[in-house]
Amino acid sequence: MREGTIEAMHESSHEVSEAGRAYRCLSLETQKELARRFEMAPRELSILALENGFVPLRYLKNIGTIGTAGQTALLKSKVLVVGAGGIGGNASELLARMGVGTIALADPDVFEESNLNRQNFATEASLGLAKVELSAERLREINSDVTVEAHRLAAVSSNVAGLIEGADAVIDALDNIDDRLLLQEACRKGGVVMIHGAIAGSFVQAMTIFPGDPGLECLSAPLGERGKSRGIETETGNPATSPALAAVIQVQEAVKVITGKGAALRGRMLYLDLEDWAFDFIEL
Amino acid sequence: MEIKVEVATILAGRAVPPLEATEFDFAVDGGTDVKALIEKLGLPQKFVGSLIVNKRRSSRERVLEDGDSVAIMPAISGG
Repeated sequence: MREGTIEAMHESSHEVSEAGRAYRCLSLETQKELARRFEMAPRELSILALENGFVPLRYLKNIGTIGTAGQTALLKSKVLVVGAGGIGGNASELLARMGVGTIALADPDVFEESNLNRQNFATEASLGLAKVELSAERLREINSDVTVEAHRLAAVSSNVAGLIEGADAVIDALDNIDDRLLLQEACRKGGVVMIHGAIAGSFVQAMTIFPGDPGLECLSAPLGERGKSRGIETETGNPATSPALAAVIQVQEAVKVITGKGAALRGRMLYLDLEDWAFDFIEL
Repeated sequence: MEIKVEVATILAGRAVPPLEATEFDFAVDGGTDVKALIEKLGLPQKFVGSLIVNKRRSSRERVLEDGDSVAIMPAISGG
C-alpha cells in the first residue's frame, strides 16, 4: 500500500521552483484523490509525502523557512489554544495555515457584537454562536489536514490537566491574570510549554515559558488587588491590531518550540507599544 | 539624587496629573523606593505591572540609588 502510494505520488506530482530550488509538489486535488484511493487521512498523506521528498503545494511557501522536516513536525504536533477571542481566533488561523496537525480550542463563550472589532471568526452572522464550534468549522475549511478539537468550556482547575495533555505547546489567549496563572501552573505540572501573550490598547506583551522557566509570577503586578485581576485594558479597550500581533508572536513561538528552529522568547518578557514604538525586553 | 524614569505611554497618560513625557530625569530623595516613586509620579497603582530597574526586574520595595534607570510597565491581561 505504502509503496503504491509513493509511486502514485511520483506519477501525479509536478515540479515547482521555489526560492531557487525545485520541489516535487502535490496539488490539493491530487492529495484528495490519493487519500481516497489509498484510504488515508489527509494529514497522514501529507506527512508521507513530505517524508518521501514531496511537498504539498499548500505548504510550499512554508518550506523555505521551516524546511520539510519542520513541516512534518508541525503536522505531527498538537497545540492547545486557551481562549478563542481576539488573540485565540487569530492564533488558531495561523496555526492551521502553518499546518499544525491538531489544534484544540477551549472557550465557553458565544460571539457578541463587541467582538466584531477584533475577533477573527466573528461575523455579523456568527453572533450568538459558540466561538469554538464556529472557529473549528473555519479551521477545517482552511486546512483539511488539521484535526480540530472544540472544547466549549473554560479552563478551570478540575479540567485543565486533561486539556493540556498531549499538547506540544499551549497558547495562552485568556483575558485575565487569574486564569493565566492557573494555566501556567497546569502547564508546569504537565511538562508543557506555555506561550503567553496579552494586550491592552496598543500594547502587547509576550513570553514563552518552558516547564522550570521563570514565568508570570515574576511580573510585579499586585496580583489579587484588582478583583478578577484584569489590567489596564479595562480602560484602553482591545482594538483590532494588538491581539493580531500578539497572536503572530505566539504562533511563531509555537513553531519554534515544535520545529526546534530559532531562539524562543524564554526567560524574558517582550513589551511592545505600537503607539510610540517603545520596545523592551525584561530579563526575569 | 537624580534617576532616569521611563513610563509606558498608556500609563503616563493616566497619571494624575498626566505625565508630559514618557522618558525623563527625575529628582528623588535618598531612600526613596520604587513604590514611593510610583506614588510621586501619580501613577494609578492598580494598573502598574512590571517594574524594571537597570534593565532587571524589580520589586516595589527596592530602594533607589543615584543614577538608577527605572522603567514602569502597565499591568495588562487582554486577549
